[in-house]
Amino acid sequence: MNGTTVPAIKNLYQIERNMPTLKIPTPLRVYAQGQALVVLQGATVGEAMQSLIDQFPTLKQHLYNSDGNLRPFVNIFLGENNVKDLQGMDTPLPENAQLLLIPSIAGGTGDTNQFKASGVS
Amino acid sequence: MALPEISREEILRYSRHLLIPEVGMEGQRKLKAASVLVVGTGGLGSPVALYLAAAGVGHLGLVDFDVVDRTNLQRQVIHGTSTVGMLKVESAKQRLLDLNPDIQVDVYNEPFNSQNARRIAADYDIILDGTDNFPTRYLTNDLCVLTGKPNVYGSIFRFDGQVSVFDARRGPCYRCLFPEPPPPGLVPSCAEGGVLGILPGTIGTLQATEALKLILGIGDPMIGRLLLYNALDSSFDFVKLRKNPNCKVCGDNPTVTDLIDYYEFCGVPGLNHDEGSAGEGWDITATELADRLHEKAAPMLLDVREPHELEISHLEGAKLIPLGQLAARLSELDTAQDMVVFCKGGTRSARALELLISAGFRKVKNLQGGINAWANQVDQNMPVY
Repeated sequence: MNGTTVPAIKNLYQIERNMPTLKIPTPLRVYAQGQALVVLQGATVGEAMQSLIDQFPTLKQHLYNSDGNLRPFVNIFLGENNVKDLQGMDTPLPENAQLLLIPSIAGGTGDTNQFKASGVS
Repeated sequence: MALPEISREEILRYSRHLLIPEVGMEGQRKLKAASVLVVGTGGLGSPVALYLAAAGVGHLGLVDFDVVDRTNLQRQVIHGTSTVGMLKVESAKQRLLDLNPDIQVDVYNEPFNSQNARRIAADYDIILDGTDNFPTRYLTNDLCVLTGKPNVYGSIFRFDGQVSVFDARRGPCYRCLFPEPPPPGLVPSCAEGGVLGILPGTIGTLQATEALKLILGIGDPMIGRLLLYNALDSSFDFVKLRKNPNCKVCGDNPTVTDLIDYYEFCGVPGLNHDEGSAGEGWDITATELADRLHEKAAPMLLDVREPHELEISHLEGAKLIPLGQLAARLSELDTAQDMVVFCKGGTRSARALELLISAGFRKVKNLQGGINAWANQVDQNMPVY
C-alpha cells in the first residue's frame, strides 16, 4: 500500500554516514511522505526531533501535546534505550545515531466491528 | 505439586517435543500441568490458542464476546467459513479440541472487564494479551500486575507488530512504557484500522513461543525487552524496557490499586459513540439521507475515509478529506452549509463531527453506521466492507 517505502529504504545508502536517522512506524508514514526512514540533523535527540518536525510539520500534533511535551503514548528510543532513561531530549547523539519512534498500538480490525468484542485483533 | 503423567498416546503425539532435551518428558508434563488464559480469540488469539493447544498446554481459557464474522476470516485462522455466525469462543473451542482432544478448554463468552477479570483469570498461571483495544489491554496489564502473573503481550497495527513479556515482579509492565492511552482520534495509535492478515500470525506465534518458554522455564523470555516487527521493511528491532519507578500501577507509589474500566480511550467509542453514532441529535440514518439528497437544498457530503477506500465504495459528489487531514483543511469547508459526514462505519465520522463542532460548525450530521449502512439500507449493489 505504501509505494514510496522502497525508494526510502534505498535512500539509506545515499545518506551521509554520520547523520542521525529515525525509523517511522507505518501509521505515521502518511505524515512523512510515506518514508520508512528519515535522515535528521542535530546533536541531541531534541534537535533531531525538531528537524523531523521542520521536514514534516503535520507530524507534530501526533507526537506532541499542546504544551510541547511528547505524548505519553509515544516513546523515542536511541538505539535500544528509551531516551527517558537517558537524558531525555538533551541526550547527545553519537555518530550514525539510530532513533526509533514507538507508539502504542492496539490492534487493527477496522472501525465499528471491533467494538462488539472485548478482544478480537 | 506433582506433574501429571503423559499417556502412551500423548507420547506419540508429542514425540517431536520429547526429542528436544529442553522439553523432554518433564517439559511435556509441565505443559500438561500449565494453564494459559487467552484474552481475545481474534487475529492474535487464533495462532496463540492453536499452537498452545497443539503443544499440549493442558488448560486453555478463551475470553471473547463476539460471533464469527466473514471479515474475520482474513486473519482469524482458528475460525472457518463453516463457523460464521457462531460464538467465537465456541468456534475456537471446537477447533482446538479437534486439534487436541486431550486438553481442557474453558470458554468465557463475556466482555472482559473489571467486574469479571479477576474471576476469569483466577485459574490461570499466564495471561496472554490478544486484545485489539486499549481498555482491555490496560485492564489485562493491571490485572497481571495486581495478581502477580506474567502478561504475554502482543499488538498489531497494519504492518507493525510489538511483542513483550510484562512481568512486574521481574521487570516493567505495559504502563511503564505507555503510562497513558491515546485520547480518541489521534494518530498514530488511533488511525483507522486494518491489518495485514498474516501479521497477527507472526506476532501471535511469537507470543505463543514466549508463553511456552515461561512454562518450560527455558531460554531468555522477553521480560524487559520489546520486539518491534515491521512486515514492510522485514525488520525486527529489539529495545530495552526499564521499570518506571513512577509507574501508576507497578511503581513505588501506585495510584492504580484496583481494576478500572475505561470508556474513553480511542479504539472504543465513548458512551455516545456506540456503533457508529455521534450521539443523540447528531446522527442521520442512511434512508433519511437518501430522502434529503432529493431535496433542493441537499446537504454537502463529506467523506473522511482514506483515498484507497473510495475504490470499494463511494457516494456521488462527496468531498474527500481523510480524518487525519481534517484539522488542517477546515478552511475548505463552509460553516453555513448543511453537511453530512461519513466514513466506513460511522466512527471516524463521529470523531470528525467532534472536531467540526469544536471548530464552530453547527449544521453537521453524522451518517449513522457509515457508508456500510448506506449499502445495507439504500444501495444494495454497493459492497459492505
